[in-house]
Amino acid sequence: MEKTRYPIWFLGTVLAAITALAGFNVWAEHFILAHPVGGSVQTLSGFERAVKPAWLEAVQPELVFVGSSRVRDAFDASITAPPACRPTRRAAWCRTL
Amino acid sequence: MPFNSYPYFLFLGLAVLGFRLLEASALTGRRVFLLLASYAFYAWWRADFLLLLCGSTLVNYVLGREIEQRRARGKARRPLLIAGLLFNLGLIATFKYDSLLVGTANQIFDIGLPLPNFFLPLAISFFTFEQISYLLDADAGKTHNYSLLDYALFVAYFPHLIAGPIVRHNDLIPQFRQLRARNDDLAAGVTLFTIGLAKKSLIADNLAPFADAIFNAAGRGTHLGATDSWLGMLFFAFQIYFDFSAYSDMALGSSLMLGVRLPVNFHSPYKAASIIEFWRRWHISLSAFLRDYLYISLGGNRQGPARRYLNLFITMLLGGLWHGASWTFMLWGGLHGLYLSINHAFRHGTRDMRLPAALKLPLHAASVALTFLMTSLAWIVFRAPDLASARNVAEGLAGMGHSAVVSFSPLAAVALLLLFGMVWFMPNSMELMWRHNPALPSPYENQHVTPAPFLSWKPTPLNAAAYGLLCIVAVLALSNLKPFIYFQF
Repeated sequence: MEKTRYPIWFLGTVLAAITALAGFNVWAEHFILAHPVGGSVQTLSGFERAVKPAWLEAVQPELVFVGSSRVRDAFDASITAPPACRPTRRAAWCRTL
Repeated sequence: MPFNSYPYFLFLGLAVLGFRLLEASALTGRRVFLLLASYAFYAWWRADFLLLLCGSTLVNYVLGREIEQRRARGKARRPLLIAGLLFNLGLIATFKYDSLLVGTANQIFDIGLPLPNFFLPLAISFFTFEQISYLLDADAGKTHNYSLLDYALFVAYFPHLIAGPIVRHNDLIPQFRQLRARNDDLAAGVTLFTIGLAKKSLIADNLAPFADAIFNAAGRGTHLGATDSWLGMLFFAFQIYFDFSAYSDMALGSSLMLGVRLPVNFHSPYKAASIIEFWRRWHISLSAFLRDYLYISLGGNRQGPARRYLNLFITMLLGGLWHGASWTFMLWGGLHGLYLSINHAFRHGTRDMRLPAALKLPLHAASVALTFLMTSLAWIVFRAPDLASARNVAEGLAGMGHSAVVSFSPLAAVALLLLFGMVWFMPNSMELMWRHNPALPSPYENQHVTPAPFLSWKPTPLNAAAYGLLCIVAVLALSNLKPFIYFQF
């Protein structure tokens, strides 16, 4: 009975889920970049934002790279892809990085 | 092209689509299509080694046919069989065991030979064993005048090519002669593939970082504490269980989508109540191969108990060495040989003992736990990069170290409880899919698939949607991609 339709239901569910995820991402990107109070891009993890400042305070290192995520990436051979950046009129952040 | 990668998903989709589009064409066309697809699958990794696969196939086919014909005419065939075995063993020795052989010779005789640096061809252990079984069966009169196309497809058929199951010619070639794409096979194959993908990306790959961290620390010489060692051993025991189980499901599922059933290769091995039973549930096709072509050839149990235990030990030692050119794999095989010998001796010694009914369940539970513990201890040498690291982990189990690479958090406790619950109490994928019978039966007579008491699969729209969602979740977890452990063999 449903044996013929099973692959169709399966693939239909997969396609629906992909569409929903892609739709959410498009909406989220638009929401973030075109927010009325100004576009922002959060690329740093919670560690970089919240824990690292306190950790630096405790360690008191002699040298600190400001904007360290980019500097760190520059020295990390395993990270080869450049940060995602799509210059638009609204997303001024991209040109100023 | 690992099974858990986007290129493989695309390749498999195109292979299934092409196969179904050829439904109306002649059977030969479908077989040629599958052979070309299989060669493309192998060449994706390294095209030059495709020549090795094709050359090995051709030589074995010619030898096998000649042996078959000489047998039919009553002529001597032993030299051809020996030549075939030497060819196959020489091939695997050259590419896989060259460094071990030369390195050991250098150590023992201090002769300073240069270490060869051959690149290990993917799947050489698998396609060599399959072809050895073909030659031995041709000599025994069990082959049936196969065409080169049938034989080449049997060797190269992509769902089993890279990491098994180790198939026999009579498992696959009769199916190739009546290839037919069926919708119910496609439905069951997609589901089985999804179950495997979920096991791999959601469970095995998430256990790997913990096991890796602990074994890498052992490799660096850190003296592991008891918590680290026990967690490392348990996490790796579960990682390899779900990794190999996932691979087996994905191989069987890929093949089923094309209407071909592969032999069952994995059947809840941690539910085994003895080491003998463990090897009838773990890598079934390898243990059946070792039994039929090595253990029995050595004399099996026909020459008294002492010789039987020696044969078991040698068989498992070589089975361990089959996994890789390393002393750790040999020690792992030797440990299992020892376990099996003790298990057989114990069984022989207690064969007349009758247990009270009330003790059966507790003793069964204790046997399952003991079997799990012994196999997990053996996994330490399997996973450790060298013998010193394995010793480091083993000493940590006894509390002789002091490190704290990981901590035993409540989350780890919950994870372990869930994992034990899954491997001991959940039905396996063969039991879930029992209505469709997705695999060839186990070669061990008493290892039948019992229907799952719950969650049994039926091709309903609800199941299709549920497994479709599981597929998406598993695919989204693929960013943490790790190759299958058995791909290295």
